[in-house]
Amino acid sequence: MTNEPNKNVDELLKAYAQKRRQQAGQPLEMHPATRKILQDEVAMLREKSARPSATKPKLLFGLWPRIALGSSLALLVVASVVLLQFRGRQPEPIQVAKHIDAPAAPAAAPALEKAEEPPAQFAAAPVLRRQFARADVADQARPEAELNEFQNILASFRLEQNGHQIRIVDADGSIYEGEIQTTAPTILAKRLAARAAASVGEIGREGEVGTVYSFRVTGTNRRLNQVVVFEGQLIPATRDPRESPLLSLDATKSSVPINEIQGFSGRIQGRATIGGTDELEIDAVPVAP
Amino acid sequence: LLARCRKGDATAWDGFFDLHYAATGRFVFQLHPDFTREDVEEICQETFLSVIKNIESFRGTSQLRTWVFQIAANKARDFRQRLRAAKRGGGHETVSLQASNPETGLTTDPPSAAPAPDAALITEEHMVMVRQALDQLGDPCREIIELRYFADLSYEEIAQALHLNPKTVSSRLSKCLDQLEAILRGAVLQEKSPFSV
Repeated sequence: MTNEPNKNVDELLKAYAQKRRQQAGQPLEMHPATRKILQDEVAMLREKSARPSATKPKLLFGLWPRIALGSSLALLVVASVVLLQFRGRQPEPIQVAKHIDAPAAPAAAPALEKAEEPPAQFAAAPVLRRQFARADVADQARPEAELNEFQNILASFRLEQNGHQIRIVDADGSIYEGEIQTTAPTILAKRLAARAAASVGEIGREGEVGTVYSFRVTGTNRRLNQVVVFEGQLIPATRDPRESPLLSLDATKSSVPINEIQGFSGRIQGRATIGGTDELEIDAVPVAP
Repeated sequence: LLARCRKGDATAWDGFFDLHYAATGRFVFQLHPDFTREDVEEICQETFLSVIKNIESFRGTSQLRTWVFQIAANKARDFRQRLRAAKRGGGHETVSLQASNPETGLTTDPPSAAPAPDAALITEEHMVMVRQALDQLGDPCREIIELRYFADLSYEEIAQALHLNPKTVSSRLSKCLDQLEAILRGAVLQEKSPFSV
């Protein structure tokens, strides 16, 4: 840089620099104290830069209980969900098992099967039976062949009794089960009993009807595959207490043999509800088996 | 060496100091005629502290020494500003010229803070003028002149340090020298010409 126009300045600056270098004397050497200060600064920065990488493992180490707890809870939640889902699917195979085991443990069978298979207690005890048929069918007013499926319900059936338990086996094999309750005879029951007695040649008198036994049986009709609820009464034909079919249920007359249902000549009257909506009046009389 | 310094290698830093400290001191000493060796040592210490703290920011676009020199120039400027501020505040103990010595009864004759008459050579005067002229230049011109004449950097090295084209450095330096000469010629009218050196 010795352009002519700047020659003087250039030389002046060079002279200046040379003069100052001469004045500086011996090359400057770093004082040990200065070196120590600088090295301390280096060490401090080295620690500072090394700290973040060392902090991460320390942070993870410090947080491991929380991480472990969180993981455990998450695992527990997942396990619970899986277990609940598994349990939600369990009933199906168990139900299949019950079907398989049904002969050995019929009491545990579902309600549908319960109607078809007699309870163990009912079957084990002596069963007293009596055949009945609806009056309109029994007197041939309506031949059974002309009845539709709905009208065919309880057209003829078998009444079975075991203590308080009562069972009605429909002609198609459908079974309706329930219990018997003793009630005071209603006016209607008395009139029906009197009329029934008159129809069989006896002179029935109102007020002379014995205890009325009401019952309620339920089950599924096989043909319609609908639930049938039959509420009715066993109405003795005469005032003779011996004709009461279920005297053994009366605590005051417990000495009367239970098998007197065999000689029951009264009627069964009531109402059957099919599928919860359709109703069918039942007025059945004993018939020969 | 730079990589090891960045990793905090103490030995590498020792090597770095040995390599650059003397050159930096010489450069700083030229930046102002009033700088003493102690001043230079102080400036160099601050310079190297800054280098240690900012070594990660060095991108290698220029020579490492040039980068250190630039830092040193800034530190020297800061140092001078502090000196000027100290002088404005006095910087010297106030002595009463009327107060007499209680033992001798004589009044005080304090020594002058100015350089001794023997040391106040003409060249020193010129040097002060040069320095003052440099201070009147703007930062870009002062920097390029300092790097060229006091740090002995080539155009290429200056170009790298200032992120300029070497030809731009040449033309800019020429213009800056023109400005400096104009300032110095203006001073001739008032003082002895520095060009008689």
